[in-house]
Amino acid sequence: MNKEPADSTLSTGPDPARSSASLWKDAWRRLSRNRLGMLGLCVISVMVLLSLFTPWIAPYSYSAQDLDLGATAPSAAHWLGTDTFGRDLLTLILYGSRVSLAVGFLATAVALTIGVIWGTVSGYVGGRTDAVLMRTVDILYALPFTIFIILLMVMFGRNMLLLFMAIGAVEWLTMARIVRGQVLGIRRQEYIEAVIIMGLPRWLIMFRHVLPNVLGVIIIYTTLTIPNVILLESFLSFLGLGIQPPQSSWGLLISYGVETMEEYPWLLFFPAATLSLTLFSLNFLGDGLRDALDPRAATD
Amino acid sequence: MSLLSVEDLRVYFHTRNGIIRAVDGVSFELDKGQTLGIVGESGSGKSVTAYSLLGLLPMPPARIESGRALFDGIDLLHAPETTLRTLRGNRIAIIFQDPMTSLNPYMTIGAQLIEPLRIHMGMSRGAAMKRAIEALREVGITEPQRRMGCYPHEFSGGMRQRVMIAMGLATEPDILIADEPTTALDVTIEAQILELIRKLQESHGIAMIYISHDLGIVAGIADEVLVMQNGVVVERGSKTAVFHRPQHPYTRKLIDSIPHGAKPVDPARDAMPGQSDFLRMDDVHITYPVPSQSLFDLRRHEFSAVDGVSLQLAKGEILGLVGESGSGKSTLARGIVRLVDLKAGRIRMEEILLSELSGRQLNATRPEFQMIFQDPYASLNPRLTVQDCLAEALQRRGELDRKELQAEILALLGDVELLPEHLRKYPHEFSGGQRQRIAIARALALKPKLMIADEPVSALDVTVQAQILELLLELNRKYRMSMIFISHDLGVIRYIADRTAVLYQGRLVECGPTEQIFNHPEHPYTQKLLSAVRASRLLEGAGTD
Repeated sequence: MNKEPADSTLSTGPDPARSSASLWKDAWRRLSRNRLGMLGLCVISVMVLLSLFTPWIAPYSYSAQDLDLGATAPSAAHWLGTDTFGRDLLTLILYGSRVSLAVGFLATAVALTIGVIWGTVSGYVGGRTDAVLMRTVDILYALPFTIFIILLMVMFGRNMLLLFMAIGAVEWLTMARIVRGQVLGIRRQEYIEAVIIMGLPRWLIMFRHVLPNVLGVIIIYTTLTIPNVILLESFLSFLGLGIQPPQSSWGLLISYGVETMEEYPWLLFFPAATLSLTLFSLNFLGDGLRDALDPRAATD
Repeated sequence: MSLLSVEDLRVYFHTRNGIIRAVDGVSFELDKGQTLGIVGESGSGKSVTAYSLLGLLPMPPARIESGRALFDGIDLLHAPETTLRTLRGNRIAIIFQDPMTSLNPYMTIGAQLIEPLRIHMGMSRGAAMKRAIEALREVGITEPQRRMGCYPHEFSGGMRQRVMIAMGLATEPDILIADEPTTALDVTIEAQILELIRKLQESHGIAMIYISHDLGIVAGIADEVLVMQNGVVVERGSKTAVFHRPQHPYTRKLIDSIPHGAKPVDPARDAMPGQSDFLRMDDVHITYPVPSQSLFDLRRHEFSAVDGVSLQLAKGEILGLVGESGSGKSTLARGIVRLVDLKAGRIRMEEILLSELSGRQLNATRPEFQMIFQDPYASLNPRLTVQDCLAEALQRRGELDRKELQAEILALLGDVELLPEHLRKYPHEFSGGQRQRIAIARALALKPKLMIADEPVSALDVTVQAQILELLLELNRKYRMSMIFISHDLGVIRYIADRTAVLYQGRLVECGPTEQIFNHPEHPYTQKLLSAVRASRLLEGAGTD
């Protein structure tokens, strides 16, 4: 490299007229240049909008059955076909998205919040605090999930709120472990020691210096958790904790589609394709976000 | 005809940001038994030159644009991989910089030594064993038979580098490429390894390419020296010519950048003898817990890293702390800034008992003592711009309004000679020297009374190192800030420190005015340290007269 006397040459020469200096603004600027990431964001936004306005845009009512019609292949009247009860599949997928996206985002948000805070504190503070927090996680891990769900049902009955809690209660455990592992590594870095020596309060170090450097892993794991949670909902619904027909969700539609796969393949194909599309979009968005939040991965 | 002749070698890296001309027209010849030294700073293309001869460059992004490298009638640059494979480790051997990572931790030393012998020389197991043991004995490893069964982690850094040399020499190569083989080692070990390489090369008649950033070492070992800058050979000649009569300005700058000579005595400071105890350490002990060997061993084991050190520091004074790895110098620094707790002893700064502070009180006092770290690549948060980084440090002293804050930040930038347009950039956009300047500015922002610099220049190139040392001296004069300067490099210490303390295995062996330590060392360890430096490199170059 060129080492001038004043040592003023830069290793790379980015845009000198850059106007913003904060991590989030920079991140947005970088994300908006990432085509796949923006595509993912658009698809997700459209899906969220569709699910919000479902009652106004769905072609049929979700409870409208036509038993005489039965399962039909896609046609002009029913774009994605109908199920064995003669219900319009497009309508079911639209209504299903309300449940699935809500569960996907909310339960993940619950898991994310608890897991990240738990893991960060545990990894950063260390010592006895770490031992107590992590043993708690170990114990919760050891509880059989099915029994836990059944206990919840017996105690509280069926309830959407309970669904979020149940899913959140299991998903945060892995998040906490992953975050703790990362924080342990970051805590030893010299830039953390430098701010310790500065005498900054602990919480500020944790949330301003440690956490942003763990974001990449958190984002990746979050994008993996959302589809996981969406499918978990169908399992809980099967146990009777989640939603029941005639209400629908993507998970329910897929598990139903699997049963009738041989006679009516479209009943599996369309719900599964919707879920896959969501999953891909989330992954693209996640990758884009991770790169955008890392100043070193500048694409310019 | 010479053993190896390289003509007009050009290696370009094709990256997203354009073409980097890593090596741009390098030619040299190497004869049997001769040593060619290649000197240059990071990014000068010295390692790329050597690696391209062995086909070890990642392609892409690297591409050999032109050139020939004739070795025994084979053009190394255009030979197929199968041909290169028979040459590598057999007729051309290489020793890498870091002995800690260049041995496979899951294989015994013996297995790693035998492998090349069996593959390249077609030896039987028994014969290879015998040759390997012989090679280990040759590089001065005691009990070679038993050591063959050891794993790399059971060896120290110096011993691992000996094993690497044994591995390189076991197949009796024609050419040995040594890429900074002693950079990761302590000076006393370095002297031994260099002596060993020189002796073995002589007895085996091997030609060697010795790559280093340290002009002193290269001038000590090489017959001919190439000085490289930005992929181009700027000067070439015999070692005495290059070192004593440098022609090119860059060579002269390299030589001038090597810290040499003594620090001028500051008359103002000597006039105030009464202030000698600004910082006072009394019988400081620091220990680390060591995991017990067995599950049923419930006693707590401890390793004593700092073992009863007492030191004083005057206001405005720079105390040099010298020692090899494991001497406890960094641990002592971490103890002073309270990153680790003391096992026993006291540290007092003016009226404050640093070693007794805790919790809120400690946090409130922390700005008074700051630290500069060794690795400027690791000591800055990669997600904060320079602006945010400095603002945070300044806000620590109290709330400032926008205008005041910006004025203070600009003043800091001026102190460390950075420009205002650097403020919006992230650490990865800067060179090593600039990052170290940012780190210094961050520490300065808190207006500390005591600055501890833990090897602040050892990760930097010599020319940058000289600038940073100059800057630290300047700031020391300007703010009359006391400083503890830790380094393994005696030249640097002599250049910057008023007084020097020598640590060895956690104990203070000698302490006194720097010139006294360098000219009349009393303790045998200090003497050994100094003679090791003098043995392995030419210290007094053209720059002194």
